[in-house]
Amino acid sequence: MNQQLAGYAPTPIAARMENHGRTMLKVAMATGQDLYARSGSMVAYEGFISYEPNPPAVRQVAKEWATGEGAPIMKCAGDGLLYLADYGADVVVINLQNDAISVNGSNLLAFDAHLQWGVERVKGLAKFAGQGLFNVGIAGTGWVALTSRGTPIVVDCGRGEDETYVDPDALVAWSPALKVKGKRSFKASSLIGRGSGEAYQMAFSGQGIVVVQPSEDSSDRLRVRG
Amino acid sequence: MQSPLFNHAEQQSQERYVIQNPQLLRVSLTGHDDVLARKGAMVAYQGLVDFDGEYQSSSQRQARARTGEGLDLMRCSGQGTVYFANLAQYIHVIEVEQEGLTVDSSYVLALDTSLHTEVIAVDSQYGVSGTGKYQLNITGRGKVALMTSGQPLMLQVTPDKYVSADADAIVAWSTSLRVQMQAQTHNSSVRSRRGNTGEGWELSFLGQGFALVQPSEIMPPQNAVIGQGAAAQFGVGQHGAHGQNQNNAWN
Repeated sequence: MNQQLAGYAPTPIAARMENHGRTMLKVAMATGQDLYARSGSMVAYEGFISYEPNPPAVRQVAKEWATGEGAPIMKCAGDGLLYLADYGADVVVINLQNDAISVNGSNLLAFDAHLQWGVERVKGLAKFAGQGLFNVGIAGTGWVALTSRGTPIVVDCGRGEDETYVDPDALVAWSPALKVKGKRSFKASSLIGRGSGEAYQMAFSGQGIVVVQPSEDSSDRLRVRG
Repeated sequence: MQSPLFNHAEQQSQERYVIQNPQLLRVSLTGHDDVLARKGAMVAYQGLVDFDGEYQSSSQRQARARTGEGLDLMRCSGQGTVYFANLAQYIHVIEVEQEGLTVDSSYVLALDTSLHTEVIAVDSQYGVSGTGKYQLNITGRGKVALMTSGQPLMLQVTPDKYVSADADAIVAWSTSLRVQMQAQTHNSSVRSRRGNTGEGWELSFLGQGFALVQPSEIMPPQNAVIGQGAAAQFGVGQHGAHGQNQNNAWN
C-alpha cells in the first residue's frame, strides 16, 4: 500500500546514529546509552524513550550557556529508535574516534552522553556575530550530530600554509586543534557607504577541519520557538 | 539555446497523478474526473482548464470556524494538464484505501472528488491547545496529494510496537490506528523548576497502519491564498501571498 511512501520507511539499523533522508537523524537507543539532544528536537520515536529536561549534570557543565535559562539540552534515555530534526536543516553525523570537535551551540543536534563536553565562550571577534556566542567542545569516542542549513562544506585547513577565513555566521564546527584568530576587513570605504558587507572573519590555521554551512542564518530555531 | 535547464522537461505519462519532481505535482485532467486542489496551489496549466471555488456546506464552514480544520479547495475541471505546488514543499501521492486517512488539513494539496472529508477530534483526556486536536478524516476510494516540509519519515505501526510522534511534526496516519495524545512529564519538575524539554504534546499510536512524520515542527504555510482587494489579486500588499504567510518557515 502507498508505494510512494514506502520509500520513506526507516532503513534497518546499522549504527548508533544515522541519517534518515537529509534532514532527519535516527538514533538507536539502548538502556545505559543515554543521549543529549537539543530540547524540542524530537519528532518521533518507537519504543520507550523518556526525556529529562536540563539534568543536574548538564547544568554544571553548561551553566554559561544561555545564561539564566539553563542549557537547551535534554537527556534522552530508554530503549528504541529516536528521530530528531531541527526545522528541516540538514543533519550531519560525525563519529569521533578519540577525537575532538568544537561546535557552534545552535548547530548542535545531539551527542552521546558519555562524551566529554563543555561550553566554551568563543574568543575574539566571533562574539560579535549574532548568535554564535557559545561553542560546545566535545571530545572522546562516540557519536555527534550537527545541523547545517544546506549541504555543508568541510574545509581541510591542513593542506596549505595559508590561513582559512570563514564568515562567523556560516561557521558550524571546527577542530579545536586549529588556531583561531579574528580578522577584520573593515575599511574606511565602508564609512562612506561602500562596505562589502563582510566586516569580520575568523581565521583558522594548523591541522584540522572547518565545517561551513552555505547560509549565514545562524539563528537558533528551536530556541526562537520557546 | 542550451542549458541544463532543459533537462527538466515535462514528464510524459498517462497517469492521473505524476510527481513531476519532488516538489511539483502534475495532474492530467484529460479523460478523468475533476480534481480538487488547495486554493492558490496552481503554478501552471496546459489546455482548457477551469478553476472554480468549491462550495462549502454550512456545516463544513462551521466546523472550519470552530476547529480551524477544513479545506479551502478549488475544483479544476476541463481538458489538460495542471501543475500544483506550494512553496517547494515535498509532495506525496497517497492512495486512500478502505481504512481511511487522518491528516492535518494544512498538509493537503489536492484530492480526488470521490473522497469524502470530515473534521474529527483526536481524543485526549484533557483539552489540548495548539495543533493536533482536530484533524481531517479522509475516506472513500481515490488519491490524495499531501505535502511535507522536507523528506518525511514513514513509520510502520504494528501491534508489537510503541510509536509516538511530536504533535507538531505529524502529518498523517491511518485512521484505523488508535491515537492518544500525551505529554511526558517528569516528577522532578514538580519539586523544582528546571526548565522543560521543549517537547509538548505527542501522539502515540497503537494498532496496525502507518504514521507520516515530517522533519520539521513548523506548520506549512497556512492559507496560502490570495486575500481580498485589487492589490491582493496581484499578490502584493498585506493581503498578498507574502502577507498571508507570516509566522511560518518561509519568513
